[in-house]
Amino acid sequence: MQDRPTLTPTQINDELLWPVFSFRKRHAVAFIPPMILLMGGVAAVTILIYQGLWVTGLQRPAFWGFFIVNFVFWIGVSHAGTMISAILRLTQAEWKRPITRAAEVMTIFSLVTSLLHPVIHAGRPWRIIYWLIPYDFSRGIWPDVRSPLVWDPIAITTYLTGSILFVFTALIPDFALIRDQSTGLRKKIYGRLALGWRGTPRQWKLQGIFGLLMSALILPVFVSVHSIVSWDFAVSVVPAWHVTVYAPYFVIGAVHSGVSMVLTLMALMRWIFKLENYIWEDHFDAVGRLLIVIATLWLFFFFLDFAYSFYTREEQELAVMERRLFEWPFNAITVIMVFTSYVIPIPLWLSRRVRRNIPLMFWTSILVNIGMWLERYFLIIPAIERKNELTFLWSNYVPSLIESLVVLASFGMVGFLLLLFAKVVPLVPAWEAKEGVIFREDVQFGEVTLPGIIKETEEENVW
Amino acid sequence: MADNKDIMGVFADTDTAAEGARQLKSAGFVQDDYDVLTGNPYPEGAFGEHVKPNRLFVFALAGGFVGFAIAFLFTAATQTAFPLVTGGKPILAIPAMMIIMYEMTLLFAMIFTVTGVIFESRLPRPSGAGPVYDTRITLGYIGLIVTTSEDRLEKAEEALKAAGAEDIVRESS
Amino acid sequence: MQNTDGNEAVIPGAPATQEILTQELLHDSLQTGSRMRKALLISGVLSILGFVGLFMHFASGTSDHTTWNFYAVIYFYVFSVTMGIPMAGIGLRMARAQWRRPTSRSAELFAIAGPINLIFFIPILLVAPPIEGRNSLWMDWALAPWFPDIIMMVLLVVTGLAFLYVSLLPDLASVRDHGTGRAQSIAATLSRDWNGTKSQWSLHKSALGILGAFYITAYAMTHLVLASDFAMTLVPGWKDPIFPAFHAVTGIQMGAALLIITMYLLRRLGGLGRYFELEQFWGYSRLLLALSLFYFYFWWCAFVLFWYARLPHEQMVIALFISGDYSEASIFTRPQFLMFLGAIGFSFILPFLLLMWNILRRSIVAPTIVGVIVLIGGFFDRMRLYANSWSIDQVGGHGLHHLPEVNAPTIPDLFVLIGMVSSILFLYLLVSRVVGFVSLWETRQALLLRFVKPWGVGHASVVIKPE
Repeated sequence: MQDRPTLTPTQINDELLWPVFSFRKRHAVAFIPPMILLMGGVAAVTILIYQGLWVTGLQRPAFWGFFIVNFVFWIGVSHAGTMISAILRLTQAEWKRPITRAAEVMTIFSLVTSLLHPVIHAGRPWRIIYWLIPYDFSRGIWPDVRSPLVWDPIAITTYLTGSILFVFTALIPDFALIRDQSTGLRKKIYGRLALGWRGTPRQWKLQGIFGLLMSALILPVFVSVHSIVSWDFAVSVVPAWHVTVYAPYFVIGAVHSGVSMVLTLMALMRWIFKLENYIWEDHFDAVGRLLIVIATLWLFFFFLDFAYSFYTREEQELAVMERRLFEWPFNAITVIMVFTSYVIPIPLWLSRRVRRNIPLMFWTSILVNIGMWLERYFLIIPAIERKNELTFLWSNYVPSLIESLVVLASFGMVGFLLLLFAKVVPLVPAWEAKEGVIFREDVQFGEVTLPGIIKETEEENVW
Repeated sequence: MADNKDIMGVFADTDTAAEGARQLKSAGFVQDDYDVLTGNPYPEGAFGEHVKPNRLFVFALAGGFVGFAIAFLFTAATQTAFPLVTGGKPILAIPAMMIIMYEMTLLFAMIFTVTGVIFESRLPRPSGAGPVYDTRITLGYIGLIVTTSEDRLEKAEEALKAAGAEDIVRESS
Repeated sequence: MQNTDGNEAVIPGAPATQEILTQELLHDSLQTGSRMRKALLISGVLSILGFVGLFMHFASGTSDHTTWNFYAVIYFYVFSVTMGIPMAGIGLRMARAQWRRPTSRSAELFAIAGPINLIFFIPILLVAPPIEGRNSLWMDWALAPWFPDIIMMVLLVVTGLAFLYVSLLPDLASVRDHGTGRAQSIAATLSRDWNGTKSQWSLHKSALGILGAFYITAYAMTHLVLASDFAMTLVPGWKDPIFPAFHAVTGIQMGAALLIITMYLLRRLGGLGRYFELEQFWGYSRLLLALSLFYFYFWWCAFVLFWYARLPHEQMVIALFISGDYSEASIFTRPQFLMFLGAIGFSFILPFLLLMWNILRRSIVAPTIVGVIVLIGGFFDRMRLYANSWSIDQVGGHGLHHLPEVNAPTIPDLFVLIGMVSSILFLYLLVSRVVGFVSLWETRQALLLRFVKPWGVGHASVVIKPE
C-alpha cells in the first residue's frame, strides 16, 4: 500500500485554489497549444462560411465526413462524465473523488464542441435554426419528430442541461469556499453563486442524496444520447449501417473513448496543476481496471457487428465490409483502429505496474482515442461513399485542410475551455477532497496498514 | 421564533466540537436547538445533530410528470397541426414520440430535482451565509450554532466555552 | 468484535463472530434434516420425469422441428436462467462489492446445472433443421452448427464447474478437517492438499479472477452461437446482431431473479437469515432493476430500427415477435402479441414500476416478489422467441411471408420442464450437503474487513478495502 499524506483543510484549500486566486506561469503556458489550434479552427470556419462548402472534401454521396465523424467522437467523449461521476457515485467508489468534477466539466465542453459541428457542417448555419428550434415560423412546418435528426438535439440538450445542473449544484460548496477566502468583487460574485451556502448537515445530506438521485436520472439520458446518435446511421437502410447493435456499440465505444480521455485529463491535470496529493497512482490503477472491462465489452460489440456483416451474405453489405478490410485507406485505418483501441493498450493495462505508471497510462489513453476517432471514420465513411447502387454517384471522400483544422481546433477548444474553467473553480472538488480525508480510516493489520472507509448507512448493516 | 437568536461556537477540530455537542446536551439543549456548520460532509450524527427528512423525490417525480406531459402534448400537437407523412410512418408515430417523451421526462425531472435540492437546502439565502458565520468554517473549523431564546443565550455560551470553543460569534441585533 | 482503540462504549453488534460462523456454516447447515431429505427425494424422483418426457418426444419423431417448439422454449428458458446466475455472482466479485460475500456460494452453486443443460441440449442439436441454404454465422460450414455449438456449451459448462470447484476449495478443506460422515470423506478427496498457505491463497485469487473472466467470455460466446443458430437462422429475413446480447443479458436478469428467490427461501426455510439480510436483497434488487432496464434497452434497439426502416422482411419479424397479425381485430386472436405483452410486462414494466421506489428496493419481500415476476416474464419472453421461431416450417429464403401456426405445448414438454428443474434442484441440494449454502471462507474474510468504532458523539462503521 502506498503512503497517503494526511492533508489539512488549509493545505487542501491552498493546493486546489491557487489557479483561481493566481495565474501562474504553468497555467498560462498551458493555454498556448489549445489557443493555437483554436485560432486555426476559427480561421478555417471563417473561410468555410465565406467560401462555401466546396472548400471541404464533401461531395455526393459522402455528405457526412470529418465534421460528422468529429461530432460523433466528441459526443462519445462526453460520456465519460456520466460514466465516472454517476456510476462511481452510485457504486460509492472512493476513487471517484478527484476526477468527478473534471470529468463532468469535460462532458459539458465536449457536448458544446460537438454541437458546433453540425452547425459548421451546414455551410449556412443561420439556416439551421429552422430545423432545430421547435417553432413553425412562417412556413407552418414543425420539426419532424419521426426523424433521428430531431431526436438528436433533444437528447443532447437534455444531457447538456443535466450535466450543467449537476456540475453547478455540486459546485455550490466550493463557491462558498472561494467566497469565504476572497474579498471585494470576487467575494460578491462567488457569494451570489454560492446562494448563501453555510454547510449545515441538511445541506450536506442533500448534496449526497442529490448526487445519487441525479446520477440515477442522468444515467438513462447518457445511454440514450449516444444510442440516438447511432440511430442517425442505423435507422437508415444504408448497407452496413442498418445494424441493430449500433446503439450499445456506440455507447460502449463512447464510454471507452471518454474514460480514456479522462485518463489523459487526469495526467495533464496532475502535471499542470501539481495535484500529486490528490490524483494518485491508485486512481490510474482503478481507471485502468475499469477500462479493461469497458474495452472488452467494446470488442464484443465490435465483434458482433463484424460477425453479422457476413450473416446474410448480402452483396452490398459484404462489399462495404470488404472495403473496410481490404481497400486503401480503410484497411490501414481498420488495423490501426483495432491495435490502438484494444490490442496495444489492454494487454499493457493487465499489468499492475503499467497501470500505476502515469506516463504510460497517459500515452496509452491517447492511443485509445486515436483508435476510437478512427473507429468512427471506419463506421461512417466506407458505407456512405457507396450509399446506393448508382455507381455514377460513387465518390471517394478526401478530407481537406479546412476540415482537418476544424478537427484539431475541437481538441483545442475543449482544452481551452477546461483551462479557463480551472481559473474559475477548482478542478478537483475541495469539499470532496476534505470529505475523503475525514472518511478515511487506516487500519493496522499485523505488519500492513490497510485503507478503510467510513460507510454511512441508515441502519446497522450486517456485512 | 421571532425572538430566537443565534449564537455560534467555532471549534478547531472534531473532538472539541463533539465535546461541545455533549456540553450543550448536558446544559439542557435538545437536538433541534442546534445545528452544525462544516466545510465538508461529516458522518451523519457525528455531532449529535438531527436532519429532518426531506422530500426530494417528490420534486423529481413531479418534474417527470410535467416533462412527460409537455413532450406528449408538443409532439402530438405539432404533428397533427401539419400532418406530413414521412417515410411511411404514421402521423402520431408512437415509437418516435416515446423517444422524445423519454428525454423530456428526464430533463424536467432533473431540472425539478435541482430546484428541489436548492429549495430543500433552504437556499438561496438573500443574506448570503448570514451574520452568524465564520469564514474559518471552510478552513476546517466546525461551527456549532445554537438557536434559542435570548435568556438562554448565556447558558449556550457557557457550554460552548466549556467545550473549548476558539471563538463565539453572536448575532448582532 | 474488533474495536481499534479498545473503547468499550456501546457499539452496534457485528453480524457474527468467527465462532458463530463455524458453528452455523460448518456444523449446523451440513445437518440433513427431514425436510431436506424429503426435498432431495422428491426432486430426485421428479428428475426422472424429464427423461420420460424426452423419450416421449423422441418417440413422436425428430424430423419436424415445429413439434419441438416448446421443448426449445423450456430448454432455453432453463439454460438462460441457470447459466446466468453465476454471471451475477462473478460480476459482483469482480466489482469488489463486499455485500455479495454471503451470497456468492448460492450463486456459484448453480454452475452445477451445466451438465443437465448439456444433456438436454443434445435433442436441440438433433432436431434443428440443417443449416445449408440459410443465413448463418458459419458460411455453410459442413460441421456447423452442431460442432461449434457443442464446443461452446462444453466450454461454458466446464468453466463454470471449474470456477465452482476453485471457489469451494477452502471450504472443502474445512469440511475435511472438521466435518463428519460422508461429507467429510468426499471433501477429503476433493480438497486434496489445500492447507491455506499464503501462496495457495494467492494462486486461488488469481484462479478465480481468470476463471471468472473465462466464464464471462464463454457465457457471451455461447449465447451468441446458440441464439444465432437456434432462433435467428430459423426465421428468414431476421438479421439482428443485438439479439445475442439481448439473450445474454436477459439470462443474467432471470438469473438474478432466481438468485433473489433462492436467497429468500434459504432465509425462510434454511435458517440462514443472518447471511441473507437486507443489504443483500437491496444490492440484488438494484442489479435486477438495472437488468430490467437493459431488457427494454436491448429490445428497443432492435425494434426501433425495424420499425423505422419499414423493410418488408423486418416488418414480418416485428409481426412474428411483437405484434402478431395486424389484420386480426382482437388482440386475443394474436398469440404473438399476447406473448410479447407478457414478456415486456413482466420483464420490464412491472419490475421497473416496482423497483423504482427505494422503499421497495430496500426490503426483503418486494425484491422476492419482483424476482418471481421476472421469472414469469422470462418464460413469456423465451416463449415468444422460441415457440414462434421454431414454428416456421420453411426456414430458407429471404423473408417470412406469413405468420406460422404456433403449436401448443404438450405433456412431454411439461415433463421435460419438471424434470430439468427438479434435476437441477436435486444436484444443488446434494452439493450443499457437502459444502453448505454460504461460503465460510468468504464470510470469515468479510468479518475481518468490517467493524464499528466510536466517532464524534456516535459511532461509524468502517469498511476496509484490501486492494
